[in-house]
Amino acid sequence: MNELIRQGVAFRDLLFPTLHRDGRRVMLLLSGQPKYDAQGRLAGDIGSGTDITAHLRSQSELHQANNQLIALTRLLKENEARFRDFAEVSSDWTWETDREGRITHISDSLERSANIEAKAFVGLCSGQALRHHPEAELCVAPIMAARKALQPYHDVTLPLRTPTGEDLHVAVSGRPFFDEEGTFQGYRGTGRNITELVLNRQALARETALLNAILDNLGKGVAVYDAGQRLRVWNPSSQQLLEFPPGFLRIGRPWADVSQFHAGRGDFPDRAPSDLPEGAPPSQWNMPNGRIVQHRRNPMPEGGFVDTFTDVSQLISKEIQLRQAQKMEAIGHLTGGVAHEFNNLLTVIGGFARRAERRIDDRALVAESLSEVVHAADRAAELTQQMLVFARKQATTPELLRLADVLPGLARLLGPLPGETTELTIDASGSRGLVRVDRGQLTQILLNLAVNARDAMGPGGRLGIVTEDVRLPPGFAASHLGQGGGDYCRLTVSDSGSGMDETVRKHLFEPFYTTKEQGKGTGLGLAAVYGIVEQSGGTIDVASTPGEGSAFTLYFPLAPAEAPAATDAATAATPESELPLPATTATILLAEDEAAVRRPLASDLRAFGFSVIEAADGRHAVGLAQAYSGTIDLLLTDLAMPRMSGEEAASTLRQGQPSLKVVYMTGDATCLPNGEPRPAGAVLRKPFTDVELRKTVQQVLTPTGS
Amino acid sequence: MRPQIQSLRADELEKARILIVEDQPGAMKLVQSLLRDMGITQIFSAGDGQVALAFLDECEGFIDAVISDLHMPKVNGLDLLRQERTVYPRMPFLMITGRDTADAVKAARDSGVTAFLAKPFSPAQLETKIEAMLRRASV
Repeated sequence: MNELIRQGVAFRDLLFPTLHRDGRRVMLLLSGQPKYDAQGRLAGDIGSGTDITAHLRSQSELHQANNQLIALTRLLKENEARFRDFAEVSSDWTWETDREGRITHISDSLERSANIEAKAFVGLCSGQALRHHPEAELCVAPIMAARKALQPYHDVTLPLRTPTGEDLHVAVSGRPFFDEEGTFQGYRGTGRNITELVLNRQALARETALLNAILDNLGKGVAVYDAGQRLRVWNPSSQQLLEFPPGFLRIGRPWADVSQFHAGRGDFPDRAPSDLPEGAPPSQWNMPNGRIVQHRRNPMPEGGFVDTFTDVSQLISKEIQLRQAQKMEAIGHLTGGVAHEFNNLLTVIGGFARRAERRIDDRALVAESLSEVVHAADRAAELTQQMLVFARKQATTPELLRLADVLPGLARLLGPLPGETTELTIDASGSRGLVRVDRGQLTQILLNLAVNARDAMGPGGRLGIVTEDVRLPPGFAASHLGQGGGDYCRLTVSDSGSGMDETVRKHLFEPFYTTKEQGKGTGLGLAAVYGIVEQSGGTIDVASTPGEGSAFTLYFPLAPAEAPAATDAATAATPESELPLPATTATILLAEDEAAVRRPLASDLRAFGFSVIEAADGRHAVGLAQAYSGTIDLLLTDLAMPRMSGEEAASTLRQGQPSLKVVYMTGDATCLPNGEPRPAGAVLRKPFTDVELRKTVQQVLTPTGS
Repeated sequence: MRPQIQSLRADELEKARILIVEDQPGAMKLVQSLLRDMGITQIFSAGDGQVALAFLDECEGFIDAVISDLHMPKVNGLDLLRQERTVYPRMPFLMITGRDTADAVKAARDSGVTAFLAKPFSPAQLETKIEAMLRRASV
């Protein structure tokens, strides 16, 4: 600028930044024109200046303010857009009313959400909008109250009937708004269609009420525990059945508490349910008042469990009554049957005996009569034997047998039995294991079953005997009394006969129950089979279809794998006819207190070639043995005798002679020597024939393993 | 040696034809033996009532007296008696009873049985009954 002045150039509105005297930076706007003196020489400059610093600053502020305004406006627009988007996207709708409650605005979402055209509501009072629904009056009360006090309200549920007649449930929230002076202008708020929610809630309430009604009226007790073993639900019956103190049951009570309570009262039978494996059968709890409550625990999929309790007291007492009645019926059958059978046999025995008595000189007649007497007596003995088997009191001498080895021998026995036209097949190929069973009883079982089968079949029937080793699953217990899983030898006797109906099947094993004609069956056969199988620790199963035949399946538990004892093998392999000749040199000490029994026995034994020393009781026998100079090979003794029993005599004599062989005789099957190892303590059951006597004595005297 | 029969002659006994109906083999044999001991030779036996009825049907008027057990399978003694009575209202009929109900016995009496004999019985009891029956029939 100085240059401009110097050159004498005029200038105008020239910005001139400079420093003020006080050091501030100022901006001047200068204008000037050259000044000439009289001589026309440039004499200087005339000008004016304006300090525009303040002006410039305000201009800049304005500009900034303008920019801010623009930014604010943009923000406002963005926000508006955002809220509009929210409002438009939301299922909720927005609304606004004026001071009088007239709807001035309602968003389009109303149509989307509630299927009501928004503009249909604009201009209406909110009361008018709701007036169609009969229940609306009651529900708007909270809104009216809030409006009166100019207070906000939240989620007031209202029923709403649409112009098309649809009933909806809406939740409405609103708050008053005011102008700058604080004057009430109206209400703004939102609305929401909650019809589905309300309907679901109502349905849930109905379901819950139904469930509660069922639970409350259920005779069974129900208690539900969650995964944390805490009580969730229970019903009045569980409280009543289990006799908890009032207030004991509450939601959240741990099972441990409840369990402890029961344990303390002694309710559990043996183990607390929590100790039981999953799927354990129901247990029976004993309640203080004598009630028996059956407890069953069922796990829930998400953890936790449902306990159910059933009062089975009456059921159990009915069951006991029924069992008692059945028992009495069976006893009735039994006594009736025994009486009838024995009456018949007594008729024969007495009749022929008297006949012989009257005609004692007629040798032929006497012989014939006596033969009939003997025959009838044998029959009676057989009958008592079968009854003892049924009573499970028959003395048995179980041995380890392989059914596969025994069946062929039995087949010979069965051979003539089934009848000429019956086809008998035996398959023992699947049986390897050993079972512990009395050989004689096994024979009896097969004979009984085979005879039944024959009687059930006409000519041309098929009788099959199959034996095989099977492993039974533990679940087998459920269908068969007392039998758990394990290894069994399964013996199946099947026929193609007439089969049987349900009634017959139910009474099948009852003593003296028979479908046969009088004289053909005693009704004891299957009862004996049942007794024998049970006695052997086995079980029996019957399958039958009327007209198609029957199958009796017998399960004998397999003995742990071990070689059969030498004696068993020897007896198994030796048919009766091939027994070694009697050891005629043997000396037998015979102890029997009944002389009438002892004398014929002694003469029989002498007839077989034995030396016999007779003793009147156990003590007598011991004395005689001590006095005897030679060797006594065998003690044949009655079990029950005065002064000293057979068992005592045997053990006394064995002290001096451990190798002494002993055969016991007994008529009472219930008192058998305990702990006597076989064959040292063979047993002859009275009555026995001379053939049985000879066979037993010979077998016991035969050195084992020879 | 024959037992003393006072009221019936030996030839009368030999003429008599008796049918025994009994399902128990032992009892059947006993009755047969005792009849033979009495001197009765014409003895016919049936194992049950059905066979007996068929036999009676077949040889009409052939049998003089029936000895039957009451308790039998299929056709029991009572059924046999009732059916027999439709043809032979007066034929001697001895009913042997055992474990039988009073009702059955009464029914047999009502149906016209000639005499009863309860098991177990002695030879003398049987003989007395048979004799009495045959004597009454021959009168």
